[in-house]
Amino acid sequence: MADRQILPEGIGAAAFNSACDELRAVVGPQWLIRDNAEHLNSYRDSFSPSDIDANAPSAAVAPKDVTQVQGVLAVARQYRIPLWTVSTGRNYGYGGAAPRKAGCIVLDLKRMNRIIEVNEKHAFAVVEPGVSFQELYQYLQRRDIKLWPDPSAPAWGGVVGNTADRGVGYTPYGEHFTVQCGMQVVLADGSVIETGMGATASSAAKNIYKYGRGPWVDGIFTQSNFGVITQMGVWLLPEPPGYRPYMVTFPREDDIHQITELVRPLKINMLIPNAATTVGLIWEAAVKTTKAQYYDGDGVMPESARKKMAQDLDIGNWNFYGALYGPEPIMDNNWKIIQERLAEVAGAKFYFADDRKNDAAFDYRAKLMRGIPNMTEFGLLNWVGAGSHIDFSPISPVTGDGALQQFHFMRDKCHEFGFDYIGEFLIGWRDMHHILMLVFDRNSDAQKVAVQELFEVLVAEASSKGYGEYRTHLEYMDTIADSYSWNDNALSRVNHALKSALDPTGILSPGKSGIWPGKSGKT
Amino acid sequence: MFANFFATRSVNPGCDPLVFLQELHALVDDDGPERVFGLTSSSNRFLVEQTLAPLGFRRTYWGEHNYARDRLYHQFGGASPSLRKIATDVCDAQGNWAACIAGSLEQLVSGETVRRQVSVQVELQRPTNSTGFLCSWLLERA
Repeated sequence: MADRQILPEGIGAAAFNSACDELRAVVGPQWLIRDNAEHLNSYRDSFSPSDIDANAPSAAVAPKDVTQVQGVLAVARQYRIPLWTVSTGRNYGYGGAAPRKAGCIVLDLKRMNRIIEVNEKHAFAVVEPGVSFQELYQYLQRRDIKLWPDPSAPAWGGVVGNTADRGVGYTPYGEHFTVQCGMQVVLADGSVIETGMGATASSAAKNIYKYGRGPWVDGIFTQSNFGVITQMGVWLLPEPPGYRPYMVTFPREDDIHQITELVRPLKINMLIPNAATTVGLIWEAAVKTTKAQYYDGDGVMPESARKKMAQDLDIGNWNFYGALYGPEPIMDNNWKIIQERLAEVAGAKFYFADDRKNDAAFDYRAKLMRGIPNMTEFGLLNWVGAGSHIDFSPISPVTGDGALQQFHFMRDKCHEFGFDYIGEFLIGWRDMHHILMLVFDRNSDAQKVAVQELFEVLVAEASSKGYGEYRTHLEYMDTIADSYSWNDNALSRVNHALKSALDPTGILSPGKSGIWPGKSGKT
Repeated sequence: MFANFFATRSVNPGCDPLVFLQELHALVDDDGPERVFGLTSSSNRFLVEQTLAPLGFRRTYWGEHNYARDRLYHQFGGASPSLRKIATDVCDAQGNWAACIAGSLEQLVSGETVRRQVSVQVELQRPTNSTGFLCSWLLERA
């Protein structure tokens, strides 16, 4: 933590002190974190490649219920102090719990960690923002409830936060916002709303029918700063009678074209019901080995070392993960079709769990596709020394041409800047997320500079080719927002109008997704 | 303490750190030990720090041990006045450097934040089972 006191912009020390006193009165003294520098450090952007002070909070406040949230908002309105809302604040590739702008007070919802309801009959849960995927999973396990959550790759991700940020998982319910149903939201003025059927006087259907009547507003509270979500309904997957994870390896880099073309109809026709994931060589390898094991020179790992590593680990340049769900005869039939199609790629090799015993990569993927949270993927950061990462994540149609084009330009740009390509393609209902993990050594100033330059180049190049990002790191929220520029930034104007109407004092998460308060709508 | 309880779980590259993080959090809750010492990968050091920061733990010693090009590079940071001596001992210990650091634990305890750094390197054959980069660390409750 820096020695100097960081304050919200335009707020003097005296006013800030008195705001903090009032916040202490609302939440209790131990839940206003200001003087404990070590604790406050956990609200900083630990993986930032740039100046960590640029996103340093002035304090953090952790209310325990809606009444305390309302109390915190009242103090923020009175002093015009901006808050930055987080649930578990663990998405380090996108900035963790750090605010977009230095000086915000982090509104940490971790104490609001009640699992309010699990409805076995209708297969849903209602949770508060502090509930992690791991906690929801444990709750279900302890009560022997045969429902699966759909965890994000790290178990400590928050159910509400991940859904609100439109994160993904790996079971058939992998697109989290699609299986969200009903929200409770505290608006900036302190009023509380329920969305969808929850807005009726008696809300028996609030977590089973998403839309209610009239405009459906849940979407405007995702990736935004229009309110504070304090409860959310999420649908859970009933445990299927059978589960069989599988992996298919493909030998050549350019196989991504054919793989994608073959997977699209299998996915659209739901023969592959879960998030179909095609993982690049290094992503697959990095949870079980390090770069230095095969190459300890500078720069990009050479082809010869990549080949040796692929041989040693018995993996491909692309590694496809999917799972079969259902009664045995259905799984057998689906597998026949899937195997027949994917075998069209020359050199494809097929594996089930028994073929990949003690394989950390297969094991964690198999867990995720079965709704079991884990933390294994973090090991990927050990690819280079003191690894950190920021992620670049464009969306595209599911086409071989698109996949190959993206792979080529992103790999080539990574190599140009001295980084290995570490990426995967996730196919959802109709779209493809290309996740490029830019892993850099945080002990290397040169790499930190290079990764920032690379990111800017990737955004520009992707944008020129028609690809927009579905979410991004704090530092690039404005850049990405600007790339959604159709019709003279018409969408940004709507977002700004909503911001002005719902949060006229601009206290909620300024700059989130490039949405700023004030007349200009800019930082 | 950490090494005794968890070292066997942390040496296998690719193993899921979730179990030890949960056990660690439970063990080091409000009334638990004041210090936690570990030898882990860089990512596991990060996970432990993030898990324990809300309980008031801060890093007061760190070592980074990097096998590269047939050499072993050690870098240390901490507040301990014995840091230079420990670095020299670690050099002398060659392949037994980890045990040497563990043996110096009492000298590393300081209660103060990191304020000096020392770098040393040792020539050696890189062990074939090396993960390339390891971190030793000490977290103390503020």
